[in-house]
Amino acid sequence: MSPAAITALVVLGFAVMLVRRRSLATLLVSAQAMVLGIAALSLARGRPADFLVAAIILLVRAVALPALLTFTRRRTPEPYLVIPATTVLVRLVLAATVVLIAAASIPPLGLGDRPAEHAAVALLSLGIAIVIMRRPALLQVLGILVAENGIYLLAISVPGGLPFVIELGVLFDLVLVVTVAAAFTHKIHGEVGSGDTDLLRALRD
Amino acid sequence: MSVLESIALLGATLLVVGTVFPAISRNPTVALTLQAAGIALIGSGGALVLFGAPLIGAEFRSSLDPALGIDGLTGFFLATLALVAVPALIFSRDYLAGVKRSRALVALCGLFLISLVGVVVARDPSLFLASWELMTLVPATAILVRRSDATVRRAVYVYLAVTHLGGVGVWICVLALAHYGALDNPAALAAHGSALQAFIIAAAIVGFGTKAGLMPLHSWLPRAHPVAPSHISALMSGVMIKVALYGLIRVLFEWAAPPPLWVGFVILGLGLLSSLGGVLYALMQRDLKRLLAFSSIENVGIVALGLGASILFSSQGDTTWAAIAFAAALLHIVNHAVFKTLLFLVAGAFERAAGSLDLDQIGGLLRRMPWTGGAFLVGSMAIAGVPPLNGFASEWLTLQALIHVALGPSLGIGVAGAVGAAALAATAALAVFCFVKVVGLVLLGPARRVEVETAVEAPPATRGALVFLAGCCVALGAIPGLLIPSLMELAPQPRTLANGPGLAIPGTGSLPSPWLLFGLLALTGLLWRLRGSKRSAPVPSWACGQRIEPSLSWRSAGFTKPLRLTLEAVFRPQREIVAIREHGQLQSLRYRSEIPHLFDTLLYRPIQRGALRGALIARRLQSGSVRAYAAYLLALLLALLVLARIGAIG
Repeated sequence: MSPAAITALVVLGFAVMLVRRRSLATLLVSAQAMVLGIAALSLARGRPADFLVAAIILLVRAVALPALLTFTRRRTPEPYLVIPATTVLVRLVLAATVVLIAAASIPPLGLGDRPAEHAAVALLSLGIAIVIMRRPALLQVLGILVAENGIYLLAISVPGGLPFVIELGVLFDLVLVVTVAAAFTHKIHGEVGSGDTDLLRALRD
Repeated sequence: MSVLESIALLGATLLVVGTVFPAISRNPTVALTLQAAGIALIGSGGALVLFGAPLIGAEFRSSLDPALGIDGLTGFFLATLALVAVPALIFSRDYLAGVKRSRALVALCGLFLISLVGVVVARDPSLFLASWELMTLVPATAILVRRSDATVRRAVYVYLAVTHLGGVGVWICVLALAHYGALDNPAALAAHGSALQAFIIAAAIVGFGTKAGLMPLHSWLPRAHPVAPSHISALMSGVMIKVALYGLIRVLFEWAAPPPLWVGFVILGLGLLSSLGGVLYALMQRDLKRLLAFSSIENVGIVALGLGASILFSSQGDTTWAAIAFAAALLHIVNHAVFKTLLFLVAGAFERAAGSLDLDQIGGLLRRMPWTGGAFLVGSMAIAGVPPLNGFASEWLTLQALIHVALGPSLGIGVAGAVGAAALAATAALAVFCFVKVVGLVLLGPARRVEVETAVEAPPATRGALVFLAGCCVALGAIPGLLIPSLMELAPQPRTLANGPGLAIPGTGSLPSPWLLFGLLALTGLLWRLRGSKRSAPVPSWACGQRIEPSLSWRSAGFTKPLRLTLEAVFRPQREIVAIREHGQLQSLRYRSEIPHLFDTLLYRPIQRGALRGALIARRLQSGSVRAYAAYLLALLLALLVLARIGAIG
C-alpha cells in the first residue's frame, strides 16, 4: 500500500480524535473508509470476485454506515454542548503516546508490508482510545469504526487477500454492531436527553 | 449397512420421532411408546455388541469431525440404559397423566435419553461435549417445567452451578486428550511425560466425579434428585451418574491408560468416602427421595472401590484380578441402575398415592399397594445387599477384589485394600440398617395419615414396569456369572473366566447364587405350606397403659438415634427445644432437630464465602463507565502486543 494512503489513514484517525462536531467526525471516518476501500480495490485488480467483494465493502463502510450514523445524529440532537473529558492537547498527546507504544510493540506479522502493519495497530489502538476519551455515544461508535478500519487494513494487506466468506462475515458483524449501537444511541438519548455516556454511570447499583 | 447398524439406526430414528412427537400430538402414549421402542432397539444393538457382535460405526478420533460408534463398553452402557429407560417410560405414562405441561415433560424425557445415548456413542470430542452439556441442561429444564417454586429454583441453581464448575474438568480433560491425539492413540500421551497425564487424570476425576456424585463433589445430587419428576429422578440416578462413570472409565482405563499407582489410591479413597459418607447421611434422612439420592452416592462409591482396586491390581501386574475388579464395578453399575430406578419410580407412585414422601407420614403401604409395595421391598433388599438379589452379587465380588488387594505383596497397597474392604463391609451393614428403617416406616405398621389409609394400588402398566424391574433384581442376582466373562472382556487387559450362572472366582470361594435362590424359594414354599390356614392376628401394642397414638409409633429419628448418638462427633446434630410458657406455666414444647450436611458447612460454605469476597473485590473494577471498560480493553491490547514483542506469547 502506498505511503500516502497509510499516512492519510492515520491522520484521519487522529482527526476523529480531535474534532468537536459529530457530523465532521462522521465525514472523517467515511473518508478513512473510502481511502481504505480504494486501496482494497486497487489491490484486487485482476481478481473479479475479490474486486466485487471489495466494492461491496467500500459501499457499506464508506456510505451505508456513515449514512446510518448521520440519520442517528439527526434524530439525537444535543440540547447543550457535551463537556469534553479532556482538552484537545491532552487528547492528542495521550493518543500519540498510545499509538507509538502500540506501533513499537507490534512484532513482525509476516505480511511483507511493515508500514501497513504499524498503521493497522495504530488505528486499532487509536479507535479504542477514541472510545475512552470521547463522551458522546456517537463518537464512541465512530471510535469502534476506526478500530475496525485498522483490522480491515490488516486484512487487505494479507498477500492474496482473505477468503471473501470471512470478509463478508466480518462486514455482516460490523453492520450488526453499528446498527445495535445506533439503536442504543437513540435509546440513551431518549432516556437521559443526551448522548453523553458518562450519564449512564447513574444506572449502576 | 449391517443388520446391527440398521437396528441402531432404526432405534435412533424412533427415539427422535418420539421426542418431537409431543409437538404435533396431545397423546403422550404414542410418543412414549416410540421412545421406548427406540431406546429398546438401541439397547439391543448395544447388548449384541457387548456379547460379541462386531463393532458398529467409527473408532474414537481426536479431530472435531462428528462421529458415532458402538464398542463393547458403549454397548454395555446402552443396554443398561435401555433396561431401565423402558420401564421408566412405561411408568411415566400414568405418572404424567393429568400433570400440567406433560407434553413438554414427555419431549424433555426423550431429549434426555438422546443426550445420554449421545455421550456414550460419541466418537469425537465435539459430539461428546455437546451431548454432555445437553445431559446436564435437560433434567434442569424438566425440573423447572414441573415445579418452579423458590426451593426448586434454588436446587436447580446449585445443580447447574456445581455440575458446570465440575464440568470444566471434563472440557479440559477431553480437549487436552484430543489436542495430544490420545483419543485415537492412547500411546500419544505417554510421549509427553507423566505430568500431563496426571493433569488430565486430575481434571477427569473432578469433572466426571462431580457428575457421578463422588464425595466431596456430590453436593448437587441430594438437592436435585428429590425435586425432579420421579421418572427423571430415576434416569438421573439410575443412568446419568453412570454415564459420568463411563467417562471416568474411558479416561482412566483407555485414553490416559495405564494410570499411575496414586490414581488407584485416590479412586479407592473417594470410593471409601462416598460409600461410607453416602450411607451414613442416607440413614439420617426423612424424605424418601433425598434418602435414595444419598444412597446413590453410596453406590457410586462402591463402584469407585471396584475401579480403584482394578487400578491397584494392574499396578502389581495381576491382570486377572484387575479384570475381575473391573467387572465387579460394571456389574454394580447395572445392578444399581436397576434397583435405584425401581426405588425412584416406586417413590413416585407412593407420592401420588399417599401425598407425601416423609417417612414419618406414610406407613402401611404394603397392604394397600401390594404390587408396588412388593416391588419396593425387592428393590430395598437388593440395594441393602441381601442375598440372593443383584446388589449382593456385585458387592460380594467387589469385596472379594478388595480382600485380594489386601493380600497383595506391597504393604501400602495391602493396607489400602484392607481399609477398603472394611469400609465396604461397614457400608453394606449400614445399608441394611438404612433400608430396614425405610421398609419398616413406609411399608409396615399402621397408616400415619388419612390420605395413606385411602391409598390405592398403582395402574396396571405402572405395576408391570415395577414388577419387571423387581424381576431384573432377582434375575441379575441369580445369574451374575453369565455376565462376568463379557464384562471382564471390557477390561483394558481382557481376561476370560469360565463361569456358570453363579460366581466362581480363582483363589476364593464361589457364590452359587442360583442355588441360593432355589434354596430360599424352597424354604419360603415350605414355610408357606407349614403355615396352612393360619393368618396373622394383629393385636395392639402395650404402651404402658396409654392410648396408642400415631405419635407413639416408630419414627425415622427414633430408629436411627442409637447410631446418631454413637457418631455424634461426625454428624454434629443440632437440636433446639423451645418451651412456650404463659403466666409461668408450661403450655407446650417445640422440638427441632437437624443434621447439618458437614460438607456444606466445612467445605462448600468457606469456598462460597471466598468467592463472594473475590466478587466484591472484582466489582470495584465494574465502574459502570463505558470509557473505563474501553480502557481495560486498550490495556489488554497493549499488554498482549508487548508480550508478543518480547516473545512471551505467540
